[in-house]
Amino acid sequence: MDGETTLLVRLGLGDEHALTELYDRLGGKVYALALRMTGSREEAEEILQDTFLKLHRNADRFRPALGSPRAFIFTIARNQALSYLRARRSRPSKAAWIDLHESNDQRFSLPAIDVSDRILVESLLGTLDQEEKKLLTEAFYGGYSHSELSHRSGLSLGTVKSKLRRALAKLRNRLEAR
Amino acid sequence: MHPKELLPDYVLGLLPAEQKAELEAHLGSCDSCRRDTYQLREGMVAMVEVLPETTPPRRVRKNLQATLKGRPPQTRRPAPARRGPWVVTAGLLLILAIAALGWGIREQLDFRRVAAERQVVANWLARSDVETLTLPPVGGQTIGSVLLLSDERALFVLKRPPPRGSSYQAWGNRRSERTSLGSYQRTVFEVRYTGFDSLGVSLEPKGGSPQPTRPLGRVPVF
Repeated sequence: MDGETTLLVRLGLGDEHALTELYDRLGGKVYALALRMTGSREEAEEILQDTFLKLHRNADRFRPALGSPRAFIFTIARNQALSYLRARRSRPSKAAWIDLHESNDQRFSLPAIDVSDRILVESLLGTLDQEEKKLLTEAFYGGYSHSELSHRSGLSLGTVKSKLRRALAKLRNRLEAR
Repeated sequence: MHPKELLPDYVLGLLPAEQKAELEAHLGSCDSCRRDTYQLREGMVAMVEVLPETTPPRRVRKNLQATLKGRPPQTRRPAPARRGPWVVTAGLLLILAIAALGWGIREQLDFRRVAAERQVVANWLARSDVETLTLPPVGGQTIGSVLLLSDERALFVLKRPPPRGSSYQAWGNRRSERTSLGSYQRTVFEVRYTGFDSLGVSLEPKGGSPQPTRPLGRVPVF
């Protein structure tokens, strides 16, 4: 059992020190994800705190066969961030402002992602074609549904679904080949 | 029957509740789909791992611990300063105004610099002949990459600016010979790799050194 799995198991048994250790290991990554998704430091701080509070409550739901501890924690963080994004999109004036004044690329690069990391992202997503890359980025970081992606891209719902599946399969194959 | 085509949507959280429940029931009894789900989730993990790790403010950790212990959380903004004589207050305001102005200018300059660097990198990445080489990690931390073009130009793209008072120095290496390719106090800089076997980068005092004193890494370019 690796260190992070042990920490999650300890947390599930009520050991709060394990939560602090997990925070020290992964807090920066959760914060980075929240920043990338929301573009707001204030919201990212709230998401970070909410993620670890939720982890504290739900650690016993971790199933090692379905994902690593990081996958479990990042999924909680992403879901928290998606709640913020959905709430923001339900406010029409703000959503309209975003759509009118920011291209997708600008929106997704709003947080301080540095150029070096951008290269790593490009390298990881290098096997995807431009359309697949855009769809996966918007689905993962932007939390858009199939129908929203179809509307935004002008592609049919079926094409969006198949391209997204293909993109993830390529990503998986790339990771397996490492 | 394995619902493999649903797994990516499941991992991305795009399945309707009913389908999600059915799939989770299936995952409870299917090793093959569980393995695929694990791999797809690792793909998602990779999309987080590639983001720049950003240190969150200390108050988040403190608030988390306070919340767990049932104490009221620390407010995000610091409490206002105690009111003093008007001269002191006016002086503080003036200092704050000057500091804010300076900070604003610095932020804007930083923003412009980063935007310009991003544009340079974006232009390089858009080329069909670009090759990306990652510099070996130092102490487990990624330090950056080198982009190569077929016209023998190379672009160093480093993760962080050099510490105050120091600079990055690029080196062209041929067998045991090292040639300085300039010192730089920024994260993105271009050099030529004509005639070298490898390119390296080191951390040096501002202005550079005759030979590398703190080598950070090198990449082959032949």
